[in-house]
Amino acid sequence: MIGNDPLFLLIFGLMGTFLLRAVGVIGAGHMEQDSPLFRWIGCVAFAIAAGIMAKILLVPSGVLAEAPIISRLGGAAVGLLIFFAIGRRIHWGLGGGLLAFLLIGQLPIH
Amino acid sequence: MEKPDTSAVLMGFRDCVIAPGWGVFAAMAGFGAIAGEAGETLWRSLVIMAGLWSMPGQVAFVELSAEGVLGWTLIIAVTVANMRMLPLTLASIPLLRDKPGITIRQFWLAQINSVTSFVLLTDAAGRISDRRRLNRYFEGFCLGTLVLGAAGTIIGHTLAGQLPVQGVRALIFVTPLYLLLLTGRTRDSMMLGAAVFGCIFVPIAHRWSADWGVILGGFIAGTLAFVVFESRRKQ
Repeated sequence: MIGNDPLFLLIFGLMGTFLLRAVGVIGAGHMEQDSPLFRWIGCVAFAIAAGIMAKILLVPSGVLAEAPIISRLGGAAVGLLIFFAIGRRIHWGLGGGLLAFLLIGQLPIH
Repeated sequence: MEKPDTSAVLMGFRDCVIAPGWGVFAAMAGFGAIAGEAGETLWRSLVIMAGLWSMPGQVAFVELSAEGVLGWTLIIAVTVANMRMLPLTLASIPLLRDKPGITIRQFWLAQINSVTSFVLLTDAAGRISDRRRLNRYFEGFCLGTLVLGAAGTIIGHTLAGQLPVQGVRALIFVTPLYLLLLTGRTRDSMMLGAAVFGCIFVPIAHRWSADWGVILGGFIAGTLAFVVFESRRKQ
């Protein structure tokens, strides 16, 4: 029984997440990089990572939720458009997207 | 004794500080503010941040413990919230393996890994062919996210409510956009397909379940991309 002691909660809370990562390391130890299993797990991990980013833009929490959806999606769309239009240059896409996010947020359309 | 490749570590640290690290800083400033409001001390907030090192678990921990949720219920909730770290670790470690088998260093790298670092790793693996150098570069990048994350937590905890909202909002917007652009850099059509499907299925699944939506949506999207592109590859 660990009760509600703040120190024990902290230690066991950290151990739970570390266990997940440790299981990942041990599981990965038996996996070949060119195997179909690795490609499938890579796809799931990549989908989770990109999906989280889309979720943050579509249904954010905290201060980003106070920005209108049109500025969040407009900024992302402009950023992706610039990125793909000029040879996948990240900083141009990022700068353009951020600028669009800030400008659309100032428009009196929402 | 093997000499550590400090130039690769510094390069990774620098690449973190240039762009995505500030998004992590902003996100952790938000976490610091939440933790402060929930009654956590600064030191405990920093231990929770570095120890859990995944935002959903961190927020779940401070909010549930503030609500007085009991022992194992809290620990299980936090572990479930961080479940995404399992597939991310499974996908990251084979890319970082510079020696055969399982090493202590892999547990260290798994602990400092995050969604931001995983996306960076998939991009860097195509640019840095020397596995040992990639390993050090990744470590430097992860340490950069941790340092800026700790700075954000301190600022958020001590200055909650005094930071300019517009600036914090812009910083938080930068991270998802940066990582979406980074995923768009992959030349692997299967991974690009997984990213596109993930952008569709994860937000939908998240509406169905805030706890399991990310994992379920990612599982469906990733499996769909794998099935579609693996059959193409065989043809």
